[in-house]
Amino acid sequence: MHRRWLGRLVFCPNNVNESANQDTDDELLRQIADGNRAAFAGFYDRYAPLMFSVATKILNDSGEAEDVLQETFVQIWNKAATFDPHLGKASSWAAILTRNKAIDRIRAAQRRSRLEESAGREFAIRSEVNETVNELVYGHDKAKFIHQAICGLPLEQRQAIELSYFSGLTQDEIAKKLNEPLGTIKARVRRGLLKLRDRLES
Amino acid sequence: MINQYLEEQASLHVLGALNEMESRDFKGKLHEDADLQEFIARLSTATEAIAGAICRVDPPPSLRSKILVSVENRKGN
Repeated sequence: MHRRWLGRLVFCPNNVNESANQDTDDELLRQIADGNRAAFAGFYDRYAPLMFSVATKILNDSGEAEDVLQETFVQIWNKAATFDPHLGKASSWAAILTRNKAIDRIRAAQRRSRLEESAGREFAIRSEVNETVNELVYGHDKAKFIHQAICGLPLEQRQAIELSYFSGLTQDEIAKKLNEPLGTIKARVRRGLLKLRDRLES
Repeated sequence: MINQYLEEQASLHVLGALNEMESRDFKGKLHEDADLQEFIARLSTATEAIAGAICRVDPPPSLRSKILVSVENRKGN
């Protein structure tokens, strides 16, 4: 099944979860902003696996990931009204909130070695499709498509994107780690995301 | 029209990779630029894919009630 989004034809598998998410996420967050705890529970049920997976990936510690998940959901409860659907999906918003909380936790503890450890676990995204969050949200076929799109990126672009998202290293630190100019790292991130976006929209 | 610099800043923004000052500056531009907002919205498809491509780890069932209770005494109905 295809549908139009922002005037472009976007692949959408016949997956109930995805259709429901796209249609009701905005409404869930509006209700959360109004203090609706049932909507908050619904949002938890929908996105806790994604958020916990991101926190666990970054922190490599399930206990700390639990703390981050709780802190992030409290943040969502307090700031649901700040979500702007024109700027992206609720899932991306929830994931980036979680990512930022996890990175903040590492930095607050000044565990520089943890940042480097996290950065050392390169290619956070496994080469095989096996029980990823995308499978839960989109189903096997689209998850495989997404994986192929990500794995199809030039290695240096994928590396720059993954380090930027998961490692918590600053762009300067990534440039130093990879022994590349800062401008090169930023360009790789830009080109990689654009390429991935175009592939996913194709 | 979005220039290459803004595309770079937007790419780093959706990954959460801008520093505090850059983020403040970028958000100011974003607020005023509909083209940039659309660019960000389209990029979120890519970042959602990146975030979701990691191994799935479900939170323990007990965490759900703990989190729901944590907002129990806050505003709401």
